[in-house]
Amino acid sequence: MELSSVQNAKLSPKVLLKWAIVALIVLVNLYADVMMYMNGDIAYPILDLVLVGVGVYVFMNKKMYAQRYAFPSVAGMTAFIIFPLVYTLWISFTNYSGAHVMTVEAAMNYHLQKTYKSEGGDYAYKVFTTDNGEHELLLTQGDKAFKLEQAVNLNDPKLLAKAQEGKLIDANLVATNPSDVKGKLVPMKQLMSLKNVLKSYVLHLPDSSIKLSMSGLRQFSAQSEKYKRLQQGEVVDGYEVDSKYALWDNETKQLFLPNMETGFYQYADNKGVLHGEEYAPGFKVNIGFKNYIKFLSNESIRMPFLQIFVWTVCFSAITVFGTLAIGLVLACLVQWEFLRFRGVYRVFLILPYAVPSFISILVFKGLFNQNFGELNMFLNTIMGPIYGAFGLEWSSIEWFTSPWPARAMILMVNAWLGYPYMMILCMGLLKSIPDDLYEATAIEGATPWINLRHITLPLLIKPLAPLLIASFAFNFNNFVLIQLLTGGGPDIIEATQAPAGYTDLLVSFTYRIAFEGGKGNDYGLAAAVAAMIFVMVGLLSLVQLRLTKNSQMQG
Amino acid sequence: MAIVQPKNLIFRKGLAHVFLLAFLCLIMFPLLMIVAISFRQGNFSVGDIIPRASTSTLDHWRLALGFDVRKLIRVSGATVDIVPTMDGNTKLYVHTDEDASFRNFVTEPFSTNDLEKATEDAPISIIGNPQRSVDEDSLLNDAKAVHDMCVATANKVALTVGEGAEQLRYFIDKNDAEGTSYGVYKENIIPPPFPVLLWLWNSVKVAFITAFLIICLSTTSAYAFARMKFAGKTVILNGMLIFQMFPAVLALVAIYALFDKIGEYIPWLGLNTHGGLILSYMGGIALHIWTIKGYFETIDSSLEEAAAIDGATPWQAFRLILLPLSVPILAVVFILAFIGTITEVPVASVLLLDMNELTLAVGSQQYLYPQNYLWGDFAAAAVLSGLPITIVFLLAQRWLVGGLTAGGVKG
Repeated sequence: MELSSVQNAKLSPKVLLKWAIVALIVLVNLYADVMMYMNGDIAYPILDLVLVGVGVYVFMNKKMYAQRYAFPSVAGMTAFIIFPLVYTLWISFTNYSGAHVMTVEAAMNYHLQKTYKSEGGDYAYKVFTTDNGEHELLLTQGDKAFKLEQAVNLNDPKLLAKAQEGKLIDANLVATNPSDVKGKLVPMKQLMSLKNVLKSYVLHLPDSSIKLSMSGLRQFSAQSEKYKRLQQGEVVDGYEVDSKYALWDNETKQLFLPNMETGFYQYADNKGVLHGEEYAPGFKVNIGFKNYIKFLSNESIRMPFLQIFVWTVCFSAITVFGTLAIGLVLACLVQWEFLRFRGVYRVFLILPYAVPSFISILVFKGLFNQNFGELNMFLNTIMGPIYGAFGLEWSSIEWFTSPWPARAMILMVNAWLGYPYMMILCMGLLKSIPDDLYEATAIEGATPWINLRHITLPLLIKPLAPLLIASFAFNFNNFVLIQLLTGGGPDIIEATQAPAGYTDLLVSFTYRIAFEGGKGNDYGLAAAVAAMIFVMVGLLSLVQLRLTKNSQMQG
Repeated sequence: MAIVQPKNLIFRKGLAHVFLLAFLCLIMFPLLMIVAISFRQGNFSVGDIIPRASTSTLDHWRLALGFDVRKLIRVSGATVDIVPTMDGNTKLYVHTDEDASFRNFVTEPFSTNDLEKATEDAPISIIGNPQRSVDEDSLLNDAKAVHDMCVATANKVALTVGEGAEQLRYFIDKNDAEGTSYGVYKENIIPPPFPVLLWLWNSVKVAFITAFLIICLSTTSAYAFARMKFAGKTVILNGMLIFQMFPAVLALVAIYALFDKIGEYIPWLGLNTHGGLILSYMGGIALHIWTIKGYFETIDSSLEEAAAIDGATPWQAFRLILLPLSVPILAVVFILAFIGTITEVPVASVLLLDMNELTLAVGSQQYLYPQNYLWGDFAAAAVLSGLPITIVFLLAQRWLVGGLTAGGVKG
């Protein structure tokens, strides 16, 4: 028994080992958290601290025995569902997008790497291979000559890797006499292959602060850093710096400040007023409710959003009631005791549910294809002559380029995919309706229609209601169907600010705002739509929970 | 059996059968079509619903199974002349003026005796040397002899021109489509467009491990929720159910960022790894917990209480008594989790990047891009990969039907 063994032998090797492992886990995680925090992340270390902290507490505390069993699944839920949800909500208040990917600190570091050609002039250079395979670098300007303090092997894979990562390599120069540099001159052709490594070299001239870097295939030039970081509180040019990320342009002698409203660096006058061009790369800033306000104020986003919302609701409602109607009729039929081959029918009717949906949706995509699709071919051969008989012309249906045929196709395909689930549910529920009710009505000579309306439906609706809500919520968010079948198309032409299509559901609209290029990957705006969907889904699930409880109480 | 029978029973039964059969035809149409299309030639051509033996081909299936397909393409206007050599051997001069991409060539000499032994599957390989023209006088000018020679070599010699990647093989074929007695064909080797079997293996691997881990996590949790009392139990249960309703598509940016970060510290759980994908699926277990919890509650707890009196710990009671009793529901949850994982698209499409790491659900979309529309190849791949999953589902459907209604209705 675990509980008593701890009390009997407080310092047994087993207990010691347990505490050692726990301590190790805690230390490793704390170290990782500190590292992440130093890198500017806040969300991830908090998530990790919470999960590890609660985990250690639950597993080391005797009172928490019951929670131990539930902890792993709750932790999984927290990390992979709740955390992304909260993170998405946070993104919706930022301008995070394809043009604003990095933090302000990363943008500043990017600018700090820029250089400009300064005084000190150009230096011609030559590369020599020494006898032991290393390289000498000779730089000359007029009668001055310099070489590397230490010869290096420019073909060293470590240097190559460094250069490929974009890291700079510092090296010191010493004054020399051109005739002192020994070795074989590397011809121009071979220099090309050394170019990448040479490009990442920063050479320091002796006894001066001038740094040289490669400025052309044949020369190195004196380069100076374009920007200098300013300290907070420092007074420059009569302006007291109040930003941690303020920069000073060494070349034009101007302030260069981050604009925390738009997420770009801009030049500023000596009062700190920003003006002029915005300089990429953009960085992430909090912009409050701007993403949400866009939906209210910007007609070219509001119109498609409302249109898509209405279509999403219609699509879900039609699907739920359509599949329910088909499923219920079929369930009644295959449960009908006088019918033979019921088992065979049942298996074949469930088949659409058994085929993986991503395959059947793609099959439909091919069959409905406007130009090579089998469905249009059949319709053309059947309807062509019929129309012709009345003197009309039949044109093949544009399933993918006209709004209404596309929507009709979506509904048909979803009915095919969805009715077996409803049939299965109804079959289960129909079994629970006592037979004598139907016996009684049969004596009275009731038709099947009366049976359905007065016995079956009223008895089914209570237990079915929460399941219908769940099905509604599922179809409300039926991303895979739209993504695989139409990709949201045909596009709404009026929607110029965000990609939107006539068959888009809110989820696929969100996905396209976030991931579809062309109109920019606007993660912030997508997160704002997502937040609105969260609210609707949350309401739906609350209603469902209430209905489930009701049906359990009475059922 | 009801005592009172409807009056027009036979009529109604007939009507029901007719309706069901018509409905089944409608439902089965796409499935039958896709099987038929997988045997059709080409990726665009339109053919019969029931494939005819003469026009059907196994090419799409070969590609789906990962084999190369060998296609012979006619070189238009190509003719063959015979160049006899001094020592009684033969050279072939193959030429055309119509096809600019075709190189005129003269083969190395070969012995006609070797033709006897050669077959279609093991042709004699003869190297051809590019040559614009040959001396007219050196050609055999007996038309019948030339014709006989060509028919004799048909499908038995492979004329190889060029080296390495430039290498092309030509065949002389007597079953010529244009009605002449023989024609020259260029051999085209078509590699499989996508690694379908690898994708299927990836999918099965990910789904199997995910389903197994989900079972482990959700049974222990369900045990705590069904049998133990602790603070916040109802809140956690309901909270899990509500959060489960939020679709992962909406949080894809966050999920991507999360796994990017995890990958910096633990590379095998980061982006583009199956480990990371499996880990991301560990969040979606609330419904399974509810299903198993519902089943646990139908099992009488007196057995475990008896065990506890005999000195069993809660863990022992769970593992040795409750688990063996709940194998049926575990099977149901396993299959549900397996199918749910195998058909998952959005998260997998964001987390997996390399062609060889994709799961089937993500990869199979690539067949039907408008720029590269491979309808016939898709059909074979779809039947090949969809069939095992469908069969598993149909075999398990008897239990699944019970599990679905039990999990959903009881809650």
